[in-house]
Amino acid sequence: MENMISVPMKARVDVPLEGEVSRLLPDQVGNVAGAHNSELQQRLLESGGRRDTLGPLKKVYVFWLPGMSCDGCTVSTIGATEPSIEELLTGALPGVPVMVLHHYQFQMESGDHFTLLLEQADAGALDAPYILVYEGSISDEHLTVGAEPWAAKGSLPTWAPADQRQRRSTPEWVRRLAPGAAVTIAIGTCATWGGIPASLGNPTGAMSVMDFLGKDYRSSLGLPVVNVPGCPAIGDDFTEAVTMLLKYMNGQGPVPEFDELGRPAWQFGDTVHLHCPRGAWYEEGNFAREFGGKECLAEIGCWGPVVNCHITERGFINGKGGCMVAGGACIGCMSPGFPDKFTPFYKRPPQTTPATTLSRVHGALTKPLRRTTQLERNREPRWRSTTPSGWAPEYDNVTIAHRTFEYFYTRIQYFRSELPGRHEKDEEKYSSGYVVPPEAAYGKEYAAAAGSQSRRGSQARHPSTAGAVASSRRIRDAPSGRSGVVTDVLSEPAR
Amino acid sequence: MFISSRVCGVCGGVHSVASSLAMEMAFGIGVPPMGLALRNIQLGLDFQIDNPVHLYLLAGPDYSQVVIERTNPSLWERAKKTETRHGNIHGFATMAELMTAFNPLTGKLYLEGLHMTRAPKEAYSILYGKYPHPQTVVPGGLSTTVSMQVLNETEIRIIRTLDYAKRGVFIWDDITQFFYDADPLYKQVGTRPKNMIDTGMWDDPFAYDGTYAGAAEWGDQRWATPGVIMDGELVTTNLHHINMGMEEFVEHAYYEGWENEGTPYPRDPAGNPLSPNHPWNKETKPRPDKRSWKDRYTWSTSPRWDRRVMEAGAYARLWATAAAAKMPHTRFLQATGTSVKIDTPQTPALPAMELEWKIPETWNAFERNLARAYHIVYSLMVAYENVQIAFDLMGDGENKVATMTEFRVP
Repeated sequence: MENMISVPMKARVDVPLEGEVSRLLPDQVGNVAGAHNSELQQRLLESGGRRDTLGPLKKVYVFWLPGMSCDGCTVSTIGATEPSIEELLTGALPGVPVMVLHHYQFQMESGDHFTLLLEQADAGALDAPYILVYEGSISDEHLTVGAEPWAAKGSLPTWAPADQRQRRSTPEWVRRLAPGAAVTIAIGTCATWGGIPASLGNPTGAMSVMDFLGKDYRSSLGLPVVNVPGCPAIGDDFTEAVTMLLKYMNGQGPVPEFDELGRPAWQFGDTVHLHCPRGAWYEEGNFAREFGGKECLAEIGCWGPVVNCHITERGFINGKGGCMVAGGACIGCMSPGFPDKFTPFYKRPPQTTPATTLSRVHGALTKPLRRTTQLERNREPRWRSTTPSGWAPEYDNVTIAHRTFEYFYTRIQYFRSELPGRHEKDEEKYSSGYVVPPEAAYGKEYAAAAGSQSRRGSQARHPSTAGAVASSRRIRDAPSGRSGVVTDVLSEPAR
Repeated sequence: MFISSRVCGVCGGVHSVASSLAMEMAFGIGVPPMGLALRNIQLGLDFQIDNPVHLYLLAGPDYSQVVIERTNPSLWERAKKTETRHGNIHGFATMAELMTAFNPLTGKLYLEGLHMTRAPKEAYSILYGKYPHPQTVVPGGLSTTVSMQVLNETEIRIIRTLDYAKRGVFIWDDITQFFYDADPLYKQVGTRPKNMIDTGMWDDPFAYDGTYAGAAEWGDQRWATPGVIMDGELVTTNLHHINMGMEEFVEHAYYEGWENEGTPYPRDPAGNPLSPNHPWNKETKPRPDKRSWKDRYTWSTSPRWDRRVMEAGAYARLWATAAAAKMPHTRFLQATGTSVKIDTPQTPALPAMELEWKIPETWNAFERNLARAYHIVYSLMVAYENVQIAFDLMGDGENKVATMTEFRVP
């Protein structure tokens, strides 16, 4: 990588050449009005809001370099909310230094003014540490020696006449800036693994940042390349990782944990299937047969069970969205090997059929058990034979088999534990109030009359007990609110 | 679709849909109405990210206090004294206040521009998984699981964005009028010939049949009428004609030509002649070269229509629709021949109002921004109308979102 194209800049002479000088930087730096982003950042730093930084760092530069990218990761980062990009830019978060973003789309400066800050970073002349962010694949500029690079930023050196300037390729910027960076972050599948530009064919020799910088690369904090993959990367994944790193740099938190491919381990530790809201359809053996189905998408070509990602848990933006949540099968865009190792899209991956067959068997056994249990669990204990719902025809498809099942089910459910209400005192059982039973208030005759009307009145051995049975039944049988809560303290006096 | 979407992170969704349209034509399959309604919502929401970003993050700073105060001190003095015309709607009393709000990083409109891309992105993610690069676009429709919840969450976000979009029209009207009043010469900034091209979009859920032969008919039923405008005059609205006129040249780009490869498509399926430089006949052969302003100097190719440079995008879409006056969906929108009337409903902060974008006399930088501000409202209303259609379809039980057949590669 040492012989990577372009001018021997370390030996440059900082004196303008004689003759035609193209575009020397004026005293005033910035865009046509002399306005530039750093100035606005400085204004933010000075104009309140940043009294405390909870640490030594006030600001950290972030250089966002685009290689062979589609800008998608920029677009998704704009949408991030955990934290938002505004919060990072304006220093809204205590303990997190202000992020002075140097981005090709949002910079006010252009041309030589744009590359000035990059050159200062290269020369080690910045007043704060910097983070290098790379979006897009790194192109192989061996293929363009002597010609226009595949991807470039700026035309240097700025003091040279126009015809002696050379376009500086983005890989060259990475080569210069990566060693001095506090951290180098590759964002998006192109930068982390190679992505679409590096898929088979690859006329530009595209590769990832790791491929380019090599196994031995360490940033000035001693970290290898940090990878936040995704096509596009989830904006929150990136801002979260940056925030954790900024906090760490500011002495405010632990060093974030990364997995063996440099991904934030807390984000990419599990497969996307494990957090998938459709995963339970898989477990019961139900699979979508057509597009738009609400069941598991495994059989229309979802790679979710083998791809490290958490979009189904985090959502894509602000907790919303996510491929499988919406109905899109996973095509492995977070994975190394995308897209080649996941094509043809919408064809069932080979491991799927054996796995889904097993889950169908599993589903065939568990589903009847669950549905039978659910039938009873979908009702209040009060509704023994009817439901008060006007929405459905009477919900009375309860068979003897179901009753038997339910009897044993309850036995098992409450084996060695308390069936609610069984041994409670009446005052505890009816928390809404303890009402004097009618027979206590009106005498034994009332209780006997009530008892003779009750269905099982004849079974009662004592009139007052019969009344008690009746009224306690009524509690269970009556739709709520029918006769208030009647307790079955019943006939304490009669006993 | 997944690969072609990844051509661009800003407009990937549109490429994805264009790719599925192409496949539908190749396989000869249509799309169920629910699939098309949802696809229209998708295409409407697609613009709610790049248009606000363009207006408030990219173009906005050009009119901001930090820039105007230093480049045009007299203009800034004037701005401090000038009252805005629509202060009661957007809340900025003077032009200076409005320009201060355009300041990068600290300005209210700048930060709001960042924030207001989120609601439509959320709606987009709810329906299509993620933005950019939607995950639910398939040949023959979508693979979105549509439910009451999904449509409700989408509609709410469209309404919230609409509130913001309505305000934007008045902000950009104020900016335009202020500069015109200050010096009529500002009308010459960024003037170009009025050459515009747009293929239209938002297919009628009940008219689109996915065939190339029928393109001229279903094209006219779109919410945005296809069209070519040459020197301010509408030339055609026929999608076949628009396709025939397209060519792509690489004389000044770092590519080799494809002259030696023959012409695989001398005619389109309807029998119309196609140029050897038509994109269908193109082959991409990169060849890095030294930059020379006389010879090759860019990686970008030169697309042309009838060998002329054309503008495309938001304002071309409005212009062609307005001039053609063919747009059949008049529930909220009306194309009059000289303007597009947009009937917006009441939203959280603003009452119902009718907005009208008129075809401008001069075509310059201010009018482009203003047209873009109108286009945000326009595309949101298309999305809103299609949400209503989707609700109605759901009521009728028409929940099918994609045509599922055995695809046979022809």
